[in-house]
Order: sequence, then structure tokens, then C-alpha cells
Amino acid sequence: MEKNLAKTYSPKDFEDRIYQSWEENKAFHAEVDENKKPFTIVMPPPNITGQLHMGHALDQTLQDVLTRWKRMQGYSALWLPGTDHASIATEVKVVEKIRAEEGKSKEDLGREEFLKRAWAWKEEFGGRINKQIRKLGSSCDWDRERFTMDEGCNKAVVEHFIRLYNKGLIYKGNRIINWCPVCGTSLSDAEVEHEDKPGKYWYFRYPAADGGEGIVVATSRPETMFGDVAIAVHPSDERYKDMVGTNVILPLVGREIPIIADQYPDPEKGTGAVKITPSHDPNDFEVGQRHNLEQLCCINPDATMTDMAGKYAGMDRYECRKAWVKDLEEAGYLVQIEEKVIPSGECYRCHNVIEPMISDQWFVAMEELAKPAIEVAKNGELTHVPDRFEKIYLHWLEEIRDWCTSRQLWWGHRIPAYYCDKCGEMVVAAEMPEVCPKCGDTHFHQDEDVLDTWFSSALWPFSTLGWPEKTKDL
Amino acid sequence: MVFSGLEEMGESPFKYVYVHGLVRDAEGRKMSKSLGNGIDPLEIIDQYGADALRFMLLSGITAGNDMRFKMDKLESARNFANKLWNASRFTIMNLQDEEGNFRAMADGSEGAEKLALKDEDKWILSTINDAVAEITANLDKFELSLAAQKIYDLIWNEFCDWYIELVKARLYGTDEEDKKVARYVLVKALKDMLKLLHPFMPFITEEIWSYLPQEGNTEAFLMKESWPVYTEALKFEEEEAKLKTAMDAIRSIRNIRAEADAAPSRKLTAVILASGKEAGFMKDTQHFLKNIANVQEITFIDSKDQVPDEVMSAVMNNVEIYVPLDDLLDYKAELERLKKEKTRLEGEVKRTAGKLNNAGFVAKAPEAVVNAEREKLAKYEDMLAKIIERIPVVEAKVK
Ligand SMILES: [Zn+2]
Ligand SMILES: [Zn+2]
Repeated sequence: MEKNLAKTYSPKDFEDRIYQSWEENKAFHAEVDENKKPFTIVMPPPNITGQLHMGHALDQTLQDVLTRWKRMQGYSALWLPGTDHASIATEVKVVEKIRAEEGKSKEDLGREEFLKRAWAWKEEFGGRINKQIRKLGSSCDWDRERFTMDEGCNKAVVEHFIRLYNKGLIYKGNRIINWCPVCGTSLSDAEVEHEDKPGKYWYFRYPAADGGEGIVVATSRPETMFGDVAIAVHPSDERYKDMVGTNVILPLVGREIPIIADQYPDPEKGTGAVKITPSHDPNDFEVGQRHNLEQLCCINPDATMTDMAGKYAGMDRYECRKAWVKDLEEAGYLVQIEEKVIPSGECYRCHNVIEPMISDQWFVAMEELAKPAIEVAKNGELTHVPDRFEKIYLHWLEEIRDWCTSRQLWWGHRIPAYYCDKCGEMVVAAEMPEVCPKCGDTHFHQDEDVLDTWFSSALWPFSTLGWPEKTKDL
Repeated sequence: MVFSGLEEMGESPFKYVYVHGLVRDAEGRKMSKSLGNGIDPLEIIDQYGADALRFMLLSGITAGNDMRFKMDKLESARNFANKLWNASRFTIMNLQDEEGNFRAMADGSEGAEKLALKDEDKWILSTINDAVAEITANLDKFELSLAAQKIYDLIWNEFCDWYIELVKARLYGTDEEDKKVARYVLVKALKDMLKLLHPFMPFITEEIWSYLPQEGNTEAFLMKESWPVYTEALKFEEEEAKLKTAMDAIRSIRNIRAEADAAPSRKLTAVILASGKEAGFMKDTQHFLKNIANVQEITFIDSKDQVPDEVMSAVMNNVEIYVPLDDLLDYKAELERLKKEKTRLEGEVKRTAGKLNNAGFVAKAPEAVVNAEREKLAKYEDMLAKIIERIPVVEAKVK
């Protein structure tokens, strides 16, 4: 060995060699040591579809500085690495690959064959990001590397799901969710990206059923009018006081709908009167629940119009919008058009406009779960750095809606719910049940949906340490 | 995650949530594929090394805020690594004999403070000791970029720019026992700083570490070493103040040189008027002025009356430093310059006078032009007179 450093600093000449030597000597490996205090960072798992970008580099560096420092301070420092199966992102990639290479859709292959391809894809490309992470010098314990869909994590997910279900904190129901018509799946609120875009508000007159003037209502999505079931005004709005309880006519459609009073409309916005379409808007859905209104669905999951749209049935949502506005204008119902910046929700994968939709999905009841999470932040068990983020955290939890956790995808943790082939009885269990508790039949089929990625990443900090087994690592 | 943890484990899975912002490009835009302004970390590692990238990313952040990716910050992180590399190489070279074996070092295993430390040894050990406390406190508060800045300053300013300079003369000196102490302190200082820097720049620190003399287990990784701990025994307040005074004095003399445009190789003399405890500090550390600031002779005076004529001066806290102009100015070069100037001015005078003696020019040229020439002549004659007066004075200094 040379007895002094090379003449010039050339990191390329030694960085990889040093990392290799650390790894070969298991310098990053951490075991539970009774004499040392534990310090654990569970790496927020990067997606297997990922390529290392600057954001990761910063993230990794921060975690590594803390881990190395604590290790030197004498802690039993464990930095646990892993990757996330990234349900929707991976499925999109694998679907693309199969289409490009074989000209087939995932339905052509069937679920089982598709999953085989997905695992093969994971084997080939899934490790790439962890090779890149090594280049940065991250001192994580690769002996403990995990994957959000490995056996242990899968066990944890099923266990957690069943426990929540038994406590009534997971339920299945028809509720309004975010729907991506292109990806063909539901999305959680966190998976919708909000952006303000230039758009239009169309003002239409809904004539009164008794032949009077009626009421003017603004909308940025006229194609949803076929699902209108009421017009709402604020109870304190003097302009409309006398009209509450009367009916107006849905233009051109001819259906009569009531004018109702509700706290939701803002008298300062638009005309102060809003159309209520419970099937296609989350706020309207709530209004509908309060007033026991009907739910009329006028847009299909593939973003074409349903039979509710009459002669526009089968048209794409935006084609329908054009034709419908034109017809309303010609019939004299269009009062004005206002150019405006409109908040638009987009799918975080494909960036198409999401469509709020009522759908039969699985939900996590958040209110109960959020309570202790709010508590730990307030009593100091959980500290945010910097502390101003505590406000954001609390606001998020206090406003949180029930979380739609089922996805119409194949790559992911399949929902552990089984339906009796004969009577349809549903059983939530770790394994497929043998006998139907209701009719005694022995044939079941499993729920087709998978859980969203966040369901397993939420368990990551302890599923990686062995939960639900009681391990010493926990 | 927090709520799942509470539900299943009955406790929060984390104690801290560290929120960091986005890495933006130099103009503050979000890095994205569609903008094409993304910078590939792997390419940066290939060109600058992972350590420089890590250090650059850390030095720019505060928790919760976005940071901008700037190439100049990356360059400066690499320059820092480079500086550390060269200083370490120099240190190792000076610790080894011709065969590359480490020369004998003092044994500080009973505590460095027990050795016959010189002022500068106490100063660097105390400075590092202070930094240990501060950097640890910063890390405890997740102030990673403050910690990074402090270790940067410590290595670059205190160690590379000062301590190595201060200790050099002793390494080449004749006092064998003192050489052993100097070597020991150099190694201890470098090792402690490598430990402090390791979490930020793991590769370069591990590489340098592997070349340093090790006690016991020579295979041990730096990453498995213990984090330095502040110790009261290495707090040397007096020596910190003393060396600060010495460094201020050296800086003052460097400034005077720069102002007088005197080369660092010119030997100077200095006259020092100091009071309070600084008087003692200056006397104790005068050898640094000689070794580092190239001051040949130092005279301590007691009152302003003893200040020589024609000096440049610097004033510090309780210390005034005077450097005679005679030392600063290069009279030989000055004489040379004066003689050249004299020849040039004589030529100008002759040319201008010749023009004005030409009756045709005076009669035909506009009055303004003629007057301008007359003014020029007067100016040249004046300058020439001053030079002629100055030459014998400078000639006397040269002799
Ligand atoms: Zn989509
Ligand atoms: Zn049954």
C-alpha cells in the first residue's frame, strides 16, 4: 500500500472502493445491543420504478448524516432500506411494456400472468435505485433490505386490514371518490394534484316550474347538469328567500328539481345559487346526504356520458359539454360566460382531469384514527422540525376525510375480502374461508381490488421490524 | 404512518418528523422532466464526487425550506475537499521518514493536556474542543447546515490556514521532544476534525483516515470511531485569546504589505506598542510574526514618543504596530524608476519647449492651443524639478 494519499484529490478513485469495503465488512449492520441506545431511521422507501433524482439525494444525505453521527455517538444505529412496490406507477410501466412488446393488454394476459410479468419487471429494474443510493454513501443495513410486497409486509398489511375492519374502522360503501378515467382506478385525495387553470363559468337560467323567472346558476362543468337533483341557496340569502321550497325546471331536460336552503353555498360567489349534483361533486355529495337527495350518475367510469344524458349518451364528457352548451345557448338558457381561473384536480400519474364519482370502494374511517395522532403532536411525543409544520400536520388531520384505499389495479396487496359465490356473503379474513357462514356454500372469490400503496407504506416503520410478530427489533 | 403506528403499537412510530423542501434549479424553478432542468445526481457524483454533492446539498438547506442547486456551491464544496486532501497529505508527509514510516510521536493517551504543549497546540485543541460542543448542539437540533458550515470553517481557516503554518517551523526544528509533541497534536487535530466531518463527507474522511497512524486496531474504520466529546481539560481560554491576538497582528502586517505593494519576501521590521495582557501575548508570540509574516526584527516600545518617523501603522485592541516605510519600499527599484522618469520628462520638456520656440507655430496656431502647450511645459518642468530633488535622497537610502 502507498504510504501517503494520492497526489491529487480524485474521488472517483476511491469512493466505490470504500463503499464496497464498508459493505463487505458489514459496517452498516446493526443488531439489537442491550448496552446501546437504539436509533432507527426507516428509509421512506423509494419507488421501484424510480431513478435517483436530486430530491432523493438530499433525502438520503440527511438520513445518512444523522445515522452516521448517531452511530459514532455509540447508538445502535439502524437505517433500514427498502423499496415501495408503487402500485399504480409500476402497473402503468408494466402495462406499457407488454403493450409495446406483445401488443397485448393486461386483460389479454389475465391477472395471474400479468402479476408474473410484474414480478419479473421488479427483479430486473427494481434494484436499480438502490445501486444508485450506494453511490451517495448511504450507510443503510442492506442485510435488512425490505420490499413493501414481501412476505412480512404482506402479512402486516392483511393483519392491519382485518384489525381495522373488525373495529369498524374499515368499511365498504358507495361514496364519492376521485376517479381517473384514463388509469381506470380510484385515487385517494393525496393522489390528486391540484392546479389552477384558465377555464370558464357558464351561467344558465333554470326557469321556475310555475312559469316564473326562475334562478341563474353558474357551473364550470355543464355536462354534470344531467345529474342535478336540486338548487341550493344559503338560508340567509335575501334574494332567494321566497323561492326556497319551490321547483325549477332543468333546462331542455324538463325534469323538475327543488330549491333548497343549505349552509354550503357562498352568497358572495357567482349568483349565490348552486346546482347540486351528488354523484359528481364531493361537496354536493355531502349536501345530498343532509337533504336525502337522489344520486343520479350521468358520467361513466370511462368518462363517456350515461343514459341519463339522453341524446348525448355515449359521448365523451368534453364533446358532450360542447354540444350541450351550444344547444342550451340556442334555446336561450345561456345567460353569460365568465373566463376564470378554475381549480382543477389531476391524476398524479397521467395528469388527466379526475372525475369525482360515486363508487363502491373500501374506505378507512379517519376520524377515530386521527384523534391520537393529533394528540401526540399536541403533547410533544411527536416533534416537527421546523415546528411550523406541526400546524400543517394538525390541519391536515383535523380536516381529513375518510380515505379511499381500494384501487382497481392488479399490482399490489389484494384486499383480503372474500365473497360467497352463491349468496354473496362477504368474509374478511387472512385466508380464503372454507364454508360460507350464511349459506354453507364452499365456493368463494376474492375481492378484485388491491390496496393503495400508502396502506403498506403507512405500516412500513414497524412491518419492516417484524410486526405483527413480537420481535426484539421492535 | 403516525396513525397506523398509534393504532397498532400504541405509540407514535417516530419521535421526530424532519421536513425538508425541494431541490430547485439555480433560478428557483422546480426540477422537472418537462422543463428539462433536472440535474442527474449520478453525473454530479461522477464529476465532483459524492462527498462534494452531499456537502453542497447540506450546506444550502434549512429545515422546511426549498434549496437551490448552484454549481458554484458545488465547486466550493469540491475545493474544500481538495484543501483538506492537500493539508492531510502535507501532514502525513511531515510525519513520515524517508522510508514512509511514521516518526516517533508524543504519547497523549493520558490526556493531551498532560503534554508539553505550546500555545498554538493549546489553541487548536481548544478551538476544536469548542467546535465539538457547537457542532454536536447543532446536530441535536437538526441544524445540519450550521454544523456543516462550522466544520468547514474549522478545517479551512483554523487548521489549514493557521495551525499548519504556525506549527511548520517546529516540525523542521531541532528540539526532538517538541517535534514529537507537534506531530502528536497535528495528528490528533486532524483525526478529531475527520470525525466531525465524517457524517457529511464519509468517503474522503475514511480515505484519509486509512493513511493516518492508528493506535491498536489498524483495520478499524473511521465510521466506527467515537464521536468527539467536549472536555473541560482541553479548554484553554488564555491561549485562545493569545493566538487570536497573534493572528490579528499577522493579518495587520499582511494588510500593510498589501497597501504598500511590498512583496511577501521583503523582510520588515516592526515596532510594537502594546498594553494590558496583550503586551504579554505579543511578546510570547513574536516568533510567529518572524516565521509567518517575515518580520526580521521586532522592537517593543513603551510610549508613542518612541514611534519612528515615516511609518505605516495598524491599530488593534491594546496593540499598535508600526512598520517603517524604509523597510516597505524598495529603494533600488524606486531609484531605477526615478531615473527613467527623469529621462522621459527631460524629453517632454525639450519637445514642448522646441514647439514654443518655433515662431511660426506661436504666430499661426490658435491662442488656446498655444496656451495649452505653455501649461504642459510648466507642468513637465515642475515634475522634473521634484524628481531631481528626490533622486539624491533615494540614492542615499540605497547606499
Ligand atoms: Zn390517471
Ligand atoms: Zn353464501
